[in-house]
Amino acid sequence: MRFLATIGRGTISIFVTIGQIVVFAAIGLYHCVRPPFYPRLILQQMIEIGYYSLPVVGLTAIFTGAVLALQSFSGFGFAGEATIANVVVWGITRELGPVLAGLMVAGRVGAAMAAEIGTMRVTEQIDALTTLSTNPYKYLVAPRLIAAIAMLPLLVLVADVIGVLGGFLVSVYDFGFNPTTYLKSTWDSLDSTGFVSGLVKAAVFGFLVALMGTYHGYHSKGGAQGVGQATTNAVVSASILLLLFNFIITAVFFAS
Amino acid sequence: MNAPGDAPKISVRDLHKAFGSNAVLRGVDLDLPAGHSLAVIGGSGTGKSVLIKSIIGLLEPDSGSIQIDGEETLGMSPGERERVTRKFGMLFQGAALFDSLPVWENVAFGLIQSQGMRRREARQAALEAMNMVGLDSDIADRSPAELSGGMQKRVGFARAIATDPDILFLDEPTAGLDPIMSNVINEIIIHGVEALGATTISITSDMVSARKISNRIAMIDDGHIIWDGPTMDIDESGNPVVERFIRSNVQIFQD
Repeated sequence: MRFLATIGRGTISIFVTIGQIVVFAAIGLYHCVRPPFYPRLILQQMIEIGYYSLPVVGLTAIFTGAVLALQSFSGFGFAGEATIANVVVWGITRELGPVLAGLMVAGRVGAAMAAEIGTMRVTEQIDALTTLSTNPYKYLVAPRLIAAIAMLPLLVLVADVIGVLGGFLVSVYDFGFNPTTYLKSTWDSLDSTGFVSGLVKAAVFGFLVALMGTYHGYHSKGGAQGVGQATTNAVVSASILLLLFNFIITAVFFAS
Repeated sequence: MNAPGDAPKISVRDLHKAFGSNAVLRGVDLDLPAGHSLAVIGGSGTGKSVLIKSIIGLLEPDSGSIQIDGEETLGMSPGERERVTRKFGMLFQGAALFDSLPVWENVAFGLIQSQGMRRREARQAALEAMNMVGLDSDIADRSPAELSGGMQKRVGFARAIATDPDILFLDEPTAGLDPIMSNVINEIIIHGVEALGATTISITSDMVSARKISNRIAMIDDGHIIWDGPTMDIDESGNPVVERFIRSNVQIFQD
């Protein structure tokens, strides 16, 4: 009986957490579309999420594109010039660009959001916002959601270009492929559905990363240990949700 | 005192709040007329902070009634609650200054965000509020992390009074400060409250501070107000719990 009670408590706790996250997301999104807005804070978050994530996302993309080309070459050899270009483009734009960029941003930005908002929570700064007639959802959550949803697709766009460049560099300078032919194969391989699905994924991943960062920060308890736990939870939950939604969006776009 | 028939500025009736099985407030009743300065005293965990946070709206009580200017605040919509909150100013125990903003923007926060004042005018108003609490304009552009604990409290108090609130809440204003700095903060509070003419509720475990900054004291113990009266009468309360609290406070101070 005790075993069943433990399972029951765990199950209820999971559903309670899911419910809390859904309510938090709904309130956050409501404040994203309802004035007053904080353009200064949105811009600040856009720079933090977009501009400062460029180096890490760019590095990840160029090496991933290069590795894709290397691995494809080991399978297809010199006869697979067009196929290698195809694998790199599809791999980067459909999956690896958005997923790796999302994971990198989850580690960099999601953790920072949880730590910053968590510290504000445990030092009563969020309570101070309320006493100063400022809605914390509007001031802290909405600007981060808006900025992440807007900036992740742009980051992925950059990651796509740099990733394809990584494959191009390896193919041309290591395998000795003809650059013009490779670029033409790359262009021919690019399909609008795959490209758009990557950008849609990026927007959803941006939302998930910001949601998990703000949610866990907002609900952190205790002192430094609570903030540390919130940061860990933000990165882990954002990464898992990101992979889950990657599957769902891929299924929606390509199942048929 | 209020004229007969006047609604008190703050009225609390049969307020209950529990966290799980831990009942913190067990039927608190409190009336505070406009312009009065009340110090709520009591040991740790007796419900002082829960009471003040319930009045402000940071915590939702389980039952009871809280009226501000005769208006029931429990069950208010977020918009109505925001309107009532504009009457409040609050000094937090740890000052709760925003790390990401310089000192002047902390002080001017309420003016810019809730009153829509332009940044240039808000900065000027912030400098005036800082001047009222004895802070030099040189520190206006510093980060709060660069200030000492006493200066952070002063900035926190300047932020609380910058919006010219009707009601001031002070959470342990002298906690963590040495006796000299505590005295400075007490003086600043007395002058600030006088200048504003605000109704004030302070929660404190420091009897020296309570005697200085209030004209009325209420002692909370085990979730109830067990004594409530003029500050000058606290030593003749006739309540053994109050007497024990005062004695232990004197003992700590002497130690």
